Amino acid sequence: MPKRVFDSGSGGERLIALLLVGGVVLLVWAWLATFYPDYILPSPGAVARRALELFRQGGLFAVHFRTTLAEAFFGFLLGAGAALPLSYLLVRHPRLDRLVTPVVVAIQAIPIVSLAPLMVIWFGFGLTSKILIAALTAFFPVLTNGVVGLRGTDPRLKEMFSIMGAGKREIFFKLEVPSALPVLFGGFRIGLTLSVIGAVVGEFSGAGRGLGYLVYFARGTFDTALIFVALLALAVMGVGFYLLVSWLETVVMPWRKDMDR
Amino acid sequence: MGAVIEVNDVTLAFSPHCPPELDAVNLVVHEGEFLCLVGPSGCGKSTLLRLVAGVLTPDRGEVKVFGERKPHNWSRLSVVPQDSLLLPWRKVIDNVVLPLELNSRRGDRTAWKAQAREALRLVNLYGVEDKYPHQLSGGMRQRVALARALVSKAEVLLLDEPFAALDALTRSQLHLEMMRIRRQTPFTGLMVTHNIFEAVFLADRVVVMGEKPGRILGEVKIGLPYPRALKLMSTPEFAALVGAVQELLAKGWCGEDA
Repeated sequence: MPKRVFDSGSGGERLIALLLVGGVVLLVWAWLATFYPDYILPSPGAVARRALELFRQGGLFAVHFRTTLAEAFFGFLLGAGAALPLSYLLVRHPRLDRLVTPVVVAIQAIPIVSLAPLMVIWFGFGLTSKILIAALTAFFPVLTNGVVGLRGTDPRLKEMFSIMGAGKREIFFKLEVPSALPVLFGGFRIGLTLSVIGAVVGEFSGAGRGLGYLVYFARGTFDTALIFVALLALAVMGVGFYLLVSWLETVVMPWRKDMDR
Repeated sequence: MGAVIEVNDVTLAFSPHCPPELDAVNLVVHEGEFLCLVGPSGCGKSTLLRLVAGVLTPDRGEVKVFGERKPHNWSRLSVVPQDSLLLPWRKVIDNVVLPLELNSRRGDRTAWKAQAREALRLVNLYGVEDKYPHQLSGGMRQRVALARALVSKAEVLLLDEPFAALDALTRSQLHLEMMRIRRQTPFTGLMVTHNIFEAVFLADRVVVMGEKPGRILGEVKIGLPYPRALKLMSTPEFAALVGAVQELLAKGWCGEDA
């Protein structure tokens, strides 16, 4: 078969490309780092040593990474878990939609950064406040995608279902939900990424652990290498979540595997 | 031959400011008959089909299927839509099973699948059961839609321009298939089309509609014996019947003096 111009290539080719890009970035970084002191731009080696040090102390993964991971993940579950039923209700009851949507939009207009201190005051320095902040950030994209997805059913298909004698329940589960899935997953993807940001913002406003706390703490001591360690760990978490959603998509929607998107 | 579909003096307007979509339309389709509705776009032929399917209710007049008004017995009536309307998340076999699944609250899935396989054989589709719709060509998708309409052994088939989106050769191929399928499992057919040749080739009777308001201009009986071969299309008899339909259409556009 002839190759397409923008073929993403096989798994092996992609890995080689990834390693190449990663290598170039590291080289440029190392070269730039020779011009600056460590507290401005630490070298890759210094960052790796700092990461190893923290890892040996048992803090990086056991405490900070795990804390932020739990906050983001459970925050997402809570936010999406609340958003999905609400999107169903909004689609089903237009009157509720007119009542609730302005409130939802108003809350969404408040920057999460300014909401976070309030959450910390109300729910303390522990996990709860961070989970709630992450849930709030994940809530809106899942809600809007849920509404758009459930409203997006092809009306001709709905008509066909009713000609075939389908009831409301069957139309919902066998038509509306499956046809909304691609859009819903788009919402999950955005929501899960945003929940990491929510968790970090929450940790900035007051926490004793977590990758966001690590950045906050390292800033105070000019431990720039530590900031880099935390940022890299956050990037790894983001990529991990992205891959998780992608994998789930292929499991839940096998028909989309070779579909042109 | 009893009447299966009866449309009595039906008027329907979507808005009071426009000419009615359908104005005092009368139509009868008899048992085992294949009737084609031909007319310009906007003459309400698809609307008429949706009225018969029971998804629309007339402003005046009545629509009866098997002598009853709505609600119909769904298992006796099925629809072949314009662009197949298969569910992209279901494999071919599960798309064909769909009407059986929606019609009965509980049932035996293996029996349904056997029935679906039979329907796929009837439309000459082999080895595609486990494929998804997007992996099939347009002609094959339309065959699947046909199989889905036939799977519940419906007595009435409503076809809404089922071949309009296909290329000319695939269309001819499916015309012949339609004829064979009708021989194998007789049904009453009501088909909407833009294509006069298709209508004359397939139908027992062609009903011509006019627009603004949507109304019936007249009908042409097609007395040609079945099975019909493609070369029938180049005979003078066929041309004369096509001419008769064209004359009716022209009457709708230019008035009685055309």
